[in-house]
Amino acid sequence: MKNIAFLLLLFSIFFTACEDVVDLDLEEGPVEMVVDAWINTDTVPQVIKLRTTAPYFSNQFVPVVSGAEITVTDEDGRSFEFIESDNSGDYIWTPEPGERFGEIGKNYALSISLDGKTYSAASRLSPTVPVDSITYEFREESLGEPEGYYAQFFGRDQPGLGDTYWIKAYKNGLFLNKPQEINIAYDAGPSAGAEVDGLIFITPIREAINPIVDDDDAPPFVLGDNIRVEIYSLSPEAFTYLERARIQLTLGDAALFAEPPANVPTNIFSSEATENPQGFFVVSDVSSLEVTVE
Amino acid sequence: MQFKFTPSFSNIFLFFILGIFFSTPLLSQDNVTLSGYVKDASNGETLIGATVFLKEISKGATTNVYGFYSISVPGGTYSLEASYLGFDKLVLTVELNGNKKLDLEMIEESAAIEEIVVVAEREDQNVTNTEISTQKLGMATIQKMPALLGEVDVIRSIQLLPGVTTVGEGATGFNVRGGSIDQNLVLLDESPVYNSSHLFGFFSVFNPDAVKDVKLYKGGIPARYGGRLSSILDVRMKEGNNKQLTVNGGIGFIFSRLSVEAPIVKDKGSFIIAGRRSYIDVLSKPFLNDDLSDTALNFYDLTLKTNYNINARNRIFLSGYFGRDNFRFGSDAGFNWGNTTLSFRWNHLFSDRLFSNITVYRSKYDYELAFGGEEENRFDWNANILNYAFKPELSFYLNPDNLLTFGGQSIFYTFEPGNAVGVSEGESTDISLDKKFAWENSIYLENEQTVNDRFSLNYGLRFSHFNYLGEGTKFIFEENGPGERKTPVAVETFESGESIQTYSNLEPRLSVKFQLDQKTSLKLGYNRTAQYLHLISNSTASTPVDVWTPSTNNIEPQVADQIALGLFKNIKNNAYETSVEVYYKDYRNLTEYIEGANLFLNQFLEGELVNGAGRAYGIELYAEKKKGKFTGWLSYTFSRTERRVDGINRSEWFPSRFDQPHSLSITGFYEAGKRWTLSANFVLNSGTPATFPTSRIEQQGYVVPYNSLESRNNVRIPAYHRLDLAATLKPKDKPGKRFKSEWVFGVYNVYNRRNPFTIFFRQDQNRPQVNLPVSTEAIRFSVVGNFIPSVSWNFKFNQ
Repeated sequence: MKNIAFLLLLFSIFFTACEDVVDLDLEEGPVEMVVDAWINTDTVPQVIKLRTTAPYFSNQFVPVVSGAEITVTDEDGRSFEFIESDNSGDYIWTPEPGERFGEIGKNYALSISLDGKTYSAASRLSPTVPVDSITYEFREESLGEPEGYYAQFFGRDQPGLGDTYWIKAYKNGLFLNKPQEINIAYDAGPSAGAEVDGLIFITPIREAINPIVDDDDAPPFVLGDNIRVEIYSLSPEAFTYLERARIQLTLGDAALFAEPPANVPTNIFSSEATENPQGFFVVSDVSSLEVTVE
Repeated sequence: MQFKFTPSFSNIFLFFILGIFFSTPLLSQDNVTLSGYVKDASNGETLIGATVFLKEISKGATTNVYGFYSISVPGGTYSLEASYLGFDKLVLTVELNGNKKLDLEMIEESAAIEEIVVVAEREDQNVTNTEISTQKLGMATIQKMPALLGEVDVIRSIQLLPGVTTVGEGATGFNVRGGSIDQNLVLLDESPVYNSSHLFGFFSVFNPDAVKDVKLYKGGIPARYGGRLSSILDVRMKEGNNKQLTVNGGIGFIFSRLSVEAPIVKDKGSFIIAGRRSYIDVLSKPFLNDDLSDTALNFYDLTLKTNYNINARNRIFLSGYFGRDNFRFGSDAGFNWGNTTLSFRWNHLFSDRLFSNITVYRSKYDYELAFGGEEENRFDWNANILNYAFKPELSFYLNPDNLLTFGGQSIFYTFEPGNAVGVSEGESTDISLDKKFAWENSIYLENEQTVNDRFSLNYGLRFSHFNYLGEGTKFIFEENGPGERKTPVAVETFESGESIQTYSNLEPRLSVKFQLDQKTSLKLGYNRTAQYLHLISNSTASTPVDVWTPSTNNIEPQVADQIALGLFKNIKNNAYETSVEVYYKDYRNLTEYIEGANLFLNQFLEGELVNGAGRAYGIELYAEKKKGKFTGWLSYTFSRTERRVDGINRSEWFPSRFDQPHSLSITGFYEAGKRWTLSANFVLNSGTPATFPTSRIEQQGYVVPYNSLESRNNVRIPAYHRLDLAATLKPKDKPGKRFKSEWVFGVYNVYNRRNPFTIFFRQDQNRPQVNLPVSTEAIRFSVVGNFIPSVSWNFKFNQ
């Protein structure tokens, strides 16, 4: 898709297209609860964040929601308590040494109690696949991409239709967190409907672990950089959430051909009919691998 | 209202035919018929819509799209007047003792003559004919208008007409009275063109050197046209000069053009061949490295047509268009798309009063994408729509008061919605979608009837039938609530030629003219239209990769009803044309999309689509000054266009993406002396609607926009306005000069306004820091951010 972006860039120059930051007053809507509950089977403490919505341009930390009780229960009735730390709105479950959260194939229910209200959600823990290898190569400058090391990872989708993954990449321990860097896979391909089941992840997914090239034209990787790749399994609903969040976050990348802006669907339910809680709950299995560019 | 094919339909049709014959006095035995063609004397091109008028009995006829006229009157001696806009009136005396063939050749009016002779009177066709909501744009006018980068463009020009809008600068296609872009039937010599743009939408596929006549039907669509809901853009190509060799050409910023026309056999047959190619690859060279020698960036088209008069009763035409946009980046990635059309037509005169035309055409649109140059890792994707059609039509000049047209059309479609092969590390997967087939048939009957001096009407009926055919798979879906993706629950496979689903529609058409006085008329138009093909596109501007899909068991045909009422008045001896039209349009079964619809390479595409309803209404005011040194037009439209889709905007009505309540356009031309022509456009439109968020949701470190009111198109972006200027310089005219050239200087967006195409929202472009809040911003995106000057040079050579 980088080539398409280049094409659009070229026309932008040609047609003197331009982008200007504008000041706008936006409508205000009711404040809603936001649950940020993406937990996984890693051995580190697991965090669920409770926040609220805030005006789009507030440009500060969103308000936290304190004093809730959060439990995640598996289908056998085993429950995990998430304890709030210092009225931060961050609720944490800390594993015992060697312990991991959850078991592959089980269903999990999230339950949040706050001021007599209940918020709930459910997720199935699907298996992930291993990162088989990470390779990198030196490339000359080309098509607006600077010279430097470009990496790709290898992994194979498991057999069976509809396995979904979130591939997170890190450069020197720093998560590549730009919206354009959200790298998700539906089987071995980028989206549902195309049958690419059981294959090695296709090239665009393999290569999307490189940081996007900024205006500063810095190369993705240089000698000595550490590259880490993690593959998280997702529920199909969580895949949809990320797929649609990425669309909404990057509507401006090809503004001429943007889809209509739309809300991203949540899987959080409230006991109160008047509320419209947002956010997502998913339990993921995770694998990882890292290399150093030498 | 949809009809299954039942015997009751044939009864209605029979009744209709009988009605026409019994309501009109049958031809008296004493009548004789005068018929023939009206042509441009300079090049032999037939003239469409020229008037032939017999003064003594105040009866006339208008030439059809092939330049043919026929009029049956009692024998005698008549003074005949032939007139056509921009041509000198032709007056002659004809003696009619028996049937007579008379081809009329008209001479283009010259400025010198204009001052002496009072110009022809029959320039009030806009008032006197029954057509409503119809706009004709002469190529001469289109060529004088200021154009983006100096490139004369049919589609950008019609966007200046009342009732025509676009989602924004550079967007492909056009929207007519609330209809989406796939609801326009764009015809090039009777063959549909599925994608009318080059370069995503900046330019259209029609080479101005090869176009003779452009007519847009926004309403009151006659029964002979069908297959799309909102409009017909009927583009007719030149036949080619049949008197002498003519070469036209030009050099502009985008294209260089060359066309050659010449007789094959003088006055019998001729041809035109016209080509254009872009320079964009030349301009982009500085951006590319040496290692990208494979890079291509160009678009081109070739238009050709030839015709031959076999004898007085038979004439044949062959027209073709071939165009391509071609982008390739090194050996790595490529993207190209284009249309090809080919139409063969045979005009046959069964008698002086029975004109027939048979068209056979083929039209194809296809695109191809390829990523990854290596054999081991690549992705190839292509898609196309192809059709073959047979379209006979008979026009029967019953008497001067009735012109009966009947015919039909049979179109066979093949859809290849996506052939895609992905190779990942040598492992290949074919993710191609099945081909789809459909057969669309229609028959129609139409009568253009003059009841008396004041009252005339065109009424007709079209019956259309659509058959979604095997070989194919019928998917049965289960609903999951409004606005939700539907789940496939069952499939049924069909053999080749088996019917999977059929639909039919009766489409009544009517337009009525009532003359209030000599220069004023009141007109009414009604049409029902049905559309069985759908362009699957959910983006603001349609992209070249959008695919056409047939109606299926899950996708119903789109249907619209429109009623329009207009008042037409000419003043000062037809120097000024004015009109006021109001319309209301009701749309059903519009193809809409669930939020987050996945439209490409998805075999369960039908589960992503939902039915929408639409409504549009408006008032269009139009005034044109047609004579004098200063000419031009002014149009103002107030209109609304809305949609209702379950699950979107709380299932309430919302404005469509191209809803622009106020739209003003002014186009003016000024003949400044013998050598200079100046022209200007000004447009002012309400901003298009957009969806703005209210809130932010933080999730995994990303700030996701959220509209807590669940609104669609809840805000309007700032108004669009723009002024363009152009000046044409002709060198001194020397009589008998064979080579003529002109310079066209233009400025687009003169006062340098950054008109917004859209406003979008995003996180600021810096990499978010873990311990800092993410800031967000609103961005105004303008396609044209500056004024754009242009110079082009055109020439014409006559042998």
